[in-house]
Amino acid sequence: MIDVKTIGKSIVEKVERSESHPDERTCGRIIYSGDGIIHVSGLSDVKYNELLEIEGGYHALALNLEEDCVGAVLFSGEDKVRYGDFVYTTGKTVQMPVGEEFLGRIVDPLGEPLDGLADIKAKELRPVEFPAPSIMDRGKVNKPLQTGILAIDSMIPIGRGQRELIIGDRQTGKTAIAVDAILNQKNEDVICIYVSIGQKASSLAKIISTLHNSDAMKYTCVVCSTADDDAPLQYLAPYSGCALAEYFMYQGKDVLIVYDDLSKHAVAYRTMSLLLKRPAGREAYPGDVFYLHSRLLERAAKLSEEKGGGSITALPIVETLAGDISAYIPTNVISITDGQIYLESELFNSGVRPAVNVGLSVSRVGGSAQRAAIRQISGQLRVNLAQYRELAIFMQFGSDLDAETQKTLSRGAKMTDTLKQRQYLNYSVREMIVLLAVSQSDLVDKVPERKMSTFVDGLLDYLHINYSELLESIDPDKKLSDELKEKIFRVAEEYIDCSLGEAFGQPRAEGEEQGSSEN
Amino acid sequence: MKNNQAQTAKVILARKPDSETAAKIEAFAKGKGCSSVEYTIDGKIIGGIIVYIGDTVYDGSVKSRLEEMKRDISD
Repeated sequence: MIDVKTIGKSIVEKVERSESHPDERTCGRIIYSGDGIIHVSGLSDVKYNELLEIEGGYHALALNLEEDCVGAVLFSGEDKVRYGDFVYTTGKTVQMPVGEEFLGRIVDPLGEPLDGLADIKAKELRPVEFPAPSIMDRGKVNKPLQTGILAIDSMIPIGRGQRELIIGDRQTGKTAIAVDAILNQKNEDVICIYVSIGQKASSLAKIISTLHNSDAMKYTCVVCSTADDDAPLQYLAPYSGCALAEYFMYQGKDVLIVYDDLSKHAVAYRTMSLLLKRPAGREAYPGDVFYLHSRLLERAAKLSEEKGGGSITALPIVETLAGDISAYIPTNVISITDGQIYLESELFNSGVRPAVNVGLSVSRVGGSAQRAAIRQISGQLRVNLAQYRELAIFMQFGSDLDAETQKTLSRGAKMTDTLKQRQYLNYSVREMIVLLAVSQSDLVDKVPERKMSTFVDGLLDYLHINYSELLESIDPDKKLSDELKEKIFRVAEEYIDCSLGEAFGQPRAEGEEQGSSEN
Repeated sequence: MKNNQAQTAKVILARKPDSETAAKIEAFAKGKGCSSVEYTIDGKIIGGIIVYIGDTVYDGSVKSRLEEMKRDISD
């Protein structure tokens, strides 16, 4: 039963809490409204990027300050505001409520919950536009951020505080890598923020359900603007997400933020700029489209120990068209970030997933943050793979090959197979060390071709079941001793010997049978 | 766009002001650099006063207070 008295009481409370606006305000009148853009006359003391309030409770962002009018973009009420309505200045920029309450929630770029759960009572507000940490406040990137993806953690390592671009055509698994990285932060004490910019609501729903099902929402907040949101909201989304990330960073925590994706962000900004009649430049983007992304990504940083040592690791995503990374937005973001993970649709279609092009992908700062053991054993990996690829092109001519070349080819193919990894299947650091060590040793020559994936899965299971103490004894922060390496090789050999000819290539049932005979 | 020339203060009231109130309003307007005061009587604001001087609005009307309250309650 709803008690009338409680309703009355809550109304009284709300009225008491109701803040009245200051008596003295600067105002103007709408002289044009169309396509979500308003022109306002008056507003003599308005500032750039100031939040405007329109009669009826709607808000707009002042972006063009001209001689006789102010151009602003509406956040809401495009079809409600009318010619002649009063517009007031607020003296504030757009602010995002921030706090621990946002973890596990799905919010819009203004901090309003979209998940149908309770109101978020945030105690603090942060401006969405905030200066990046100064040079002196920054520390060195020295701690790894494990994505759990072998190809990335071994060859394109990401450090906490780094900005690593994920770039590739549509349907190459860009978001999958970012989501995998979020899932892998479980028990790592990293707060994750997923910012969706102009994404399809259906794919966003899928990502959110993945995060829910993997219990990753506990440490994750999703800031979303979907494709049907107004351009100003899409434009604001990454900055809001970053404001939330900064709140945690300045508390000394590590944050991972994914911007999915910045090409749609640039498109939203282009929409606003063209409607505001700003001059169009290359590909019709406005002149400040570089600054749009550079000021956002500069806010991702690793703070020095004196400042608490927190960090924001940014994984911006950019979609290319037909693999063209020399287009305007991709080149801009590549030059801003500390490296890129380049995904190729050809690789994806030929079954190499994640479809990382190792040759074109780099990490400019992550190397120093890589765990010692991984750095030790993955040093030669890149060179070996490059050699393999070069040879593989020759192989297409079908000429007779000497034994040495054949060996290099078969090893390269097996290495490539080892780097294939199913989505949502993240390896721990110790598992990676074992896989890297074994797949680069002579042992792989015993594994039949095309059976490498089965071998990898089997070996890890075998290790977990029979030699978990060996796995535990690996210290990722120390170089792998020859003795330990020897032990790992012995186990791998044991597994190869007892499973050869049975597990590989046979139906699963036999593999299980053989598994039971081992025990 | 702020002009420092003498301007007119536009005052909206719900009722005709008595002489004491009018004197106060005129003194206020003069303090803000206005040379004249223009009165409009509009019952829609219910009570209180709204003063426009150039771009600046001093809104002390009952109507806008009520509207704000309405918005806060419905939030």
